[in-house]
Amino acid sequence: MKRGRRISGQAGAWVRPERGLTFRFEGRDIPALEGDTIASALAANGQYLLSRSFKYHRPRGPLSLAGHEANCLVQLPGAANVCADQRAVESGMRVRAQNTLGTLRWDLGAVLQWFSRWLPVGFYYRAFYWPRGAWDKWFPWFRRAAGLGKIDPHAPPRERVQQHLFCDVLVIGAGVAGLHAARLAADEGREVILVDRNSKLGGAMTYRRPGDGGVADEGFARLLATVREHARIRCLTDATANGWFEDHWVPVIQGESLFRVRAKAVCVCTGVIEQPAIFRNNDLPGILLGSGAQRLIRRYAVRPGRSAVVLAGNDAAYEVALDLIDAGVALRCLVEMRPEMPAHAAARALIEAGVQVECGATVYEARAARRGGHLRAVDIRAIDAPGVAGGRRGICRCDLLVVSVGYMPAYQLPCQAGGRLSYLDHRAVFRIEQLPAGMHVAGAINGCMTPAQAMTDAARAIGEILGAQAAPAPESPGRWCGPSGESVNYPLPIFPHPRGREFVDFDEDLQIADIVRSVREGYRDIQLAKRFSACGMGPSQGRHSALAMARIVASETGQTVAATGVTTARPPVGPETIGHYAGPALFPRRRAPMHDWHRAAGAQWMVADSWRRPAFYGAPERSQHHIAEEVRAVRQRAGIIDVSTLGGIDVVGPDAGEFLDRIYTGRLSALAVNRSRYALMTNDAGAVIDDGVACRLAADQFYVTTTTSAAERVYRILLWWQAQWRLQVDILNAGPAWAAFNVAGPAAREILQGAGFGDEIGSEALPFLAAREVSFAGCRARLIRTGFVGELGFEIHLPFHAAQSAWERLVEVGKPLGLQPFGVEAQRILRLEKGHVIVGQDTDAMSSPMEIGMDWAIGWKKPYFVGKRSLQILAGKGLSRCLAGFRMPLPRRDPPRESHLVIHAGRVVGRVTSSGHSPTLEAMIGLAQVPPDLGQPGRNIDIRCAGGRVRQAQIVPLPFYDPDNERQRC
Amino acid sequence: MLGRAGTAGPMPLRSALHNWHLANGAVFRPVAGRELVAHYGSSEQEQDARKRLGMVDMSLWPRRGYRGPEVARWLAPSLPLPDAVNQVQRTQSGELVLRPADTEYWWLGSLAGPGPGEMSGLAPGRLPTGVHDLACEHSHALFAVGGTQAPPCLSRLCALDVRPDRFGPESMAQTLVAGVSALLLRQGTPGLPVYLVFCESSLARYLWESLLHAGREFGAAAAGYTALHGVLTQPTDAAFDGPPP
Repeated sequence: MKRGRRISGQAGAWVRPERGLTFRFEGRDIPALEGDTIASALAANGQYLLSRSFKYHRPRGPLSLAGHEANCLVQLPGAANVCADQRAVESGMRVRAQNTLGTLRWDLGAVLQWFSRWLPVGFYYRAFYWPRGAWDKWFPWFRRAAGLGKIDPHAPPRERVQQHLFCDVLVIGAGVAGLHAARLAADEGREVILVDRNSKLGGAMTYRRPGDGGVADEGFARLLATVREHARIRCLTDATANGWFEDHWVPVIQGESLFRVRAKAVCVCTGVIEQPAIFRNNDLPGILLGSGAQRLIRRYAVRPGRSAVVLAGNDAAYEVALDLIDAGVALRCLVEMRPEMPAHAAARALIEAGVQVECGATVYEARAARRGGHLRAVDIRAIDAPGVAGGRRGICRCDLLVVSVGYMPAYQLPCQAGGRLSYLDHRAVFRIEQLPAGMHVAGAINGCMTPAQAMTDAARAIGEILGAQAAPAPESPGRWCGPSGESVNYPLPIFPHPRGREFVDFDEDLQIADIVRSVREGYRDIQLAKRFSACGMGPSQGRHSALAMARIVASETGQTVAATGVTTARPPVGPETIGHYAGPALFPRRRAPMHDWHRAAGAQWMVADSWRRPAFYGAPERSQHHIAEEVRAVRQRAGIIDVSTLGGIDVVGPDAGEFLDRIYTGRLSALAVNRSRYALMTNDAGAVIDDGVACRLAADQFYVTTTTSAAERVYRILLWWQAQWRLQVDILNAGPAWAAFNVAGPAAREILQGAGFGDEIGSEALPFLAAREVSFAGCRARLIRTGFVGELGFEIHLPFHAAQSAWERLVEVGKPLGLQPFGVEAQRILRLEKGHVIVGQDTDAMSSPMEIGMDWAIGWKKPYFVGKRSLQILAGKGLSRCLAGFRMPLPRRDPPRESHLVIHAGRVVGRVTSSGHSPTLEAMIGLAQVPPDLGQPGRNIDIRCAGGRVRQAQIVPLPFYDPDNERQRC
Repeated sequence: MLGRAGTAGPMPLRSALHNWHLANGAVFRPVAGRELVAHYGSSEQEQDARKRLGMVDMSLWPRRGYRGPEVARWLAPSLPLPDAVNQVQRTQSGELVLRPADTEYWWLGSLAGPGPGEMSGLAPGRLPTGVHDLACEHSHALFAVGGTQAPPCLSRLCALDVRPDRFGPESMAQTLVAGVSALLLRQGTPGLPVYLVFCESSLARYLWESLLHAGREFGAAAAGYTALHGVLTQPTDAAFDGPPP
């Protein structure tokens, strides 16, 4: 590993030489400085080889040092596809290369490139599908060969933060244009958020050669300080504005955080993306873009190489060349693509420095060292015609080739917002037009390449945002030009080679021939060519390939580049994780007032919609014992269960009875005041969707309960129908105000009286199915005499904030009488013994009331209720299945469970919907959906249990327990 | 009609967070049958905390909610009513009247003042036809989230722009906070904003812990109701004038 590439005394560098650290890359210790990125630290140690390419496993290194290309994606523990040229290095960090077969240096997959002739673009569309099933065999191999990073499913979860931010002006990009725009807007009293991808503000000013545009360093430093300290500007660094959505909604990703920014206006100052030249082996490690080399020098104080060649297509290349010389790089040659050298200060300085300049020439081929694949020499040829290389000018040995041939505006965000790219033929650049209202671009993205131009442009954009009468922006003659007045883009820096390897898209290993082949296959539209070739579909999303692809497609189709255009930009702008959008772990959980009491009593929880309900109380390893004890307590003494999860709806008004008659299958308008009745709800198709109890508390007031999971849905259904029927009723979601518990068992009445209830709960004052409001211990309460578990029972609904005290009082009073809390598991056994149905468990999306034996709950004489017409049709057809009770001796193991199949004559004819061990009957009992003929009492059914064991059960009449309801009526 | 009253003594009203308060060292003080958290150790510390980010459980604060076609006509003689939905009116005594829906009004009172029922001579249970009691004092929990860091804390959980200069005093909105339905009401001063957050009582623990978690970075701390002294615009003097806890 080579050392000694740090530049001492580099002013303004982001690294701190006094703070060294060490990290590991591919198992080696690498010294670094605080402020380094992974890539810059490796470059400082001469390690340019960072990764292997997607398809051919070619060696790849950093190109832009701006987080644009897939070359720099590396693997960290617990994080895949990390941009090595953006991620700050940390002490002890363990970094590995991605997509290697073998080692990074010796990658077996590299042999694939020798077969590239037989692996042209789109080859997999036509291959591997024959014979049938072959693709399934090939696919895993392709995935292994062409994968990127690896997700570690065992990585510990990271805390994610999401935050909503609001501002008047969102400025994206903190270069000189963005800084100036932010300051101007803030000075006018606007709240500004300034977002930049880098860890420090300044954009290109932090790496470009100073003093080239009229803004002195001192002035820029003042601007920086003003922005940093401005009370109305919030700066988000290391942050990426990752998309644009309607009404200027912009997700900004910063580390593990996602900021959802809503702005009144957006000013995009994201600058330009430097483009590579296309020639043979243009992807070798050691080939850098001009801005990439400058970033290494100025931000990280790294000398990019020892001996360099500069490929120049514009004026900026000369500044880069001077920077290289200043950094101590031996500049072998500057290859100028243009016929003549430009006449500007940097060019003159270069001549004075004695650098050899080859005009009208290009690098035709880069050559790699045998070991490591790093650049070792370039083949320089004359340019005979646009895109045509001629005679050799020479071969120049070098370990660094710096390319500066043109730019593409960072168009992703404006174009996502609806902006259009138009090509200026005389400048060979794309320009952004037709921006939506409230979005503006300023600075280099708008062709203002010098700081002075950028600041003027920023002032114009902010003026438009603030509503000032801005003059229409003329096409400045200086836009998209360098100091010499020539365009910043060389028109066609693309030089095909007979032996290929001229890469257009580094992500997908696409060469010139691949794009040409796509067009010749008939995919002449650039959108089609993109999809066939996958050009621009990799992690860099076409940042370095869109312009070159447009030029190649235009050349092949005979169209202009303007007519060809570029492919559509879509979010996201950069890589993002699902975790960013999942955000923090927010899972709303509801709690009854007695939740903590249950937990202290040893409750084992079960999920019920957004609630947790006690399944039973006691150690889980003895669950069956605890459940049986709870069942026996209810049957023999008394039990108390928390039913606060049930929904409760008040239906109030003169038409309340009529309204409920239309909603439920039964006739509830005939219900007497202070009485309750079972209420069954069907949908338009006649399928059972919910049930509960309807209580008439006054002539114009009903209180209906719902199942736990349907509470909000039933409320919405009632509102939906009322919006159509417009009856004189008010529908109030009363459930959230109440907590409820059910005290059931022979001793229930005695316990309630001991807790403070009076004569109003006597058998005459409150008979079975009575319901009334009472005052209990200073609170309004609703009492319902229900019998879901088949015993004397009182459902007590109390105000939420009084319920905890009431529960504790009842438990205390009931303890001497054997009161025991019971959970949902015991309740299910108790109701099963009574043959009561649970909607959603014993029914499915097609179950009619007739199928579950609820014909008695249908008011056929009513003129209308929801689902009546469907039920009439179903009733006319006869039943195809029914819900029947079955009983069998207790098996030693593998008892029937819910959803076990009922088999008859070798065919599946039904399924078990409920089953359980009845401690009362000392038998296995259950409910099953079976054909009507099989559901007749006395018939036997076969149930296929766990492990395929078939058990026989006998159909018996329902209910299993207390068929005359004597116990619950007492 | 209510049945005959039971014979047991009144039960204390407890917030849905009662056990959380207990576990975190709350010092309770009974006020009018409510077990309120006075503070968690030092009321002086809480006075400091509230300036940064303090959270107070106000679930037992007196309030009433009524809905129905006749509710405006019934309340109008007793209370000033907001003109439109999602607006707030202040009574002469400093209490607030909210209008969450077209025919729905909530009265948010103080610990000492009379309720609107008493003001109009009507008690719950004897409401006129077309007026229905919403029992919002039980259906909803109420938290005060106050301090200079309250807006960024809320912005972690709520998509609404709650910056003090945009969501001004006595602004009201119904929105989602931490993914659950909530009613937001702005109180306090421009320099020390306080947001009242109503959510369903069964979600109180979830939202309380979500708010504390979101506010952890900003120094969030639970505080007793004494931290609200002088912060809320409702009169709370009676509660503060009592004996020290």
